[in-house]
Amino acid sequence: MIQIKDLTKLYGSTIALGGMSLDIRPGEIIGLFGPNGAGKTTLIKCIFGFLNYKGSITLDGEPITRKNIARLSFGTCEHTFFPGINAKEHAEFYRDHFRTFDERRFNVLMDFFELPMNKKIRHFSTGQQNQFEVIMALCQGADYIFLDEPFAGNDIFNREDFYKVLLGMLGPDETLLLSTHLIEEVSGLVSRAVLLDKGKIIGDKQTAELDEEGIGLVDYIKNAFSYKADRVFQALEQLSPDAERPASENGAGPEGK
Amino acid sequence: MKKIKLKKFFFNPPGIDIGVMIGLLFLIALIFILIVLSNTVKESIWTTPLDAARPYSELLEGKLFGFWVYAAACAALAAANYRSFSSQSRSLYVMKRAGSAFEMHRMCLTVPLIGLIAGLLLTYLIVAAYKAEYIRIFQQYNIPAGYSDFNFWRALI
Repeated sequence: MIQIKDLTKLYGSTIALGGMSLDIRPGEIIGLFGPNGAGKTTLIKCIFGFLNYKGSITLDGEPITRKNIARLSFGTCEHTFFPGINAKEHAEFYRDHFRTFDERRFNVLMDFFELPMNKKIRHFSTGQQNQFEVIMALCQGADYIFLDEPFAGNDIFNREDFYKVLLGMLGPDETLLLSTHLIEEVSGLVSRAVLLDKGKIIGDKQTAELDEEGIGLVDYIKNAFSYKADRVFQALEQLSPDAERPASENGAGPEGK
Repeated sequence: MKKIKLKKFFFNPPGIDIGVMIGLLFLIALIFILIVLSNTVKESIWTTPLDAARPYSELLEGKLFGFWVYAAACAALAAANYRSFSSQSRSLYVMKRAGSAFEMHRMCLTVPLIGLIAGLLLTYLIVAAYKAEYIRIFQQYNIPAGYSDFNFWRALI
C-alpha cells in the first residue's frame, strides 16, 4: 500500500499541495480528478520523488527509493519514452532494466493499437505516442501504475476500446491511478474517485458507494466542486440583445444624463 | 569461456548512436589535435632562430590550445547526452526507476571521458615526438642541459 501523510509541496510561496493524506491500496483503480492546477501532477511527481516535498510517502511501510521504485510505473502526457529508438528497442531496454517487464502484454497492446515495431517513436503521431506511453507504463510489470492525462489527443474509439482492454487486462493486485479530465469516459473503469482541488482532497469515495446512493460519478464530482449549473444560462442571458446594458455602456453617466 | 553480453544501451543513452559519438570525437581530434596542435608546435620550433634557442617548455607555452578545443567538444558531447534524457520527452523519469543511480552517468560520460583521455594521450605523444625534432635541430648549437625537458601539465595549462 502507498501511504501519503501530511504531504505539502510549495512552489515558492504558492501552496501546490497543502498537507494532504491518502492511502492507495493494492487492486484499486483510482480516478484522480480536479481542475487544472489542482495538484494532480504534482502529487504523482512527489510520489515518485521527482519533486522535493514535506511529509511522508511510503510503499508498504518503506520510503520510496531506488530499491523499490521499480514497483511503480508512470505514463504521462509529457511522455517518458526514448524518442530516438523504436518500440522493439524499448522492449529490449525494459527487459534489461525491469525484471518484471511483461513482454506478452507488450506485444498484445502493440497489436491492439496497431503500432509499428521498427519505427522510431519520434516519428509516431501524437496519438500513437500517447498510446505507446501508456503501453510502456502498463508493461513495466509495476504493482502501482500511474497515468497522468494519458489519452489527450487520442480519438474516442481508441479510448473506449482501450478502457475495455485495460479492465480485462489488469491483475487483481495491480493498482491503477488515473489522472484525467475525461470523467464520463472513465466512470465505468474506476473503483474509487479522489477529488483534488487547490492542493487538498475535497472528496474520496468508492464508486460502489455512489452506485448504492444512486449518484453518478459526474454528478458527485460536479457537486463536490460546487458546479454552477446556471452559469451558462446567466452568461447567455447577459449577451442577449434584450439584456439591460450597464449604464456606462448606454452613454449614461453616473449623474444619469 | 562464458561470453559476456553487454546491454545494448550500456555506454550510450538510448537514441544516441555510440558509433556517431566516437566518429565525431575522432574527427574533432583529427582536426584540432593531429592537425592544428601538431602544426602549431612544429611551426613554433621551426620559427625559432637557430642561435636563439629557448627551452622546449617555453616554446610549447600557449601552443596546445587545440587540445582545449577538443576537451570542450568532449564536454559538449557529455552535456548533449544528458540533455537527450529531457529533450523531446522526459525519459529521465524512466532512468530514475531503472537500474542503478550511476547508470545514466555511465551512459552519458563513458565515451566523452575515454575520448578525453585518448585526446590527452595523443597530445602527449605529439609533444614528445616534437621534442625529438627540437633536439635534432638545436643540439648542434649546444643547447644547455635541461632545455629539452618539458612539463606536460604545465605546457597544457
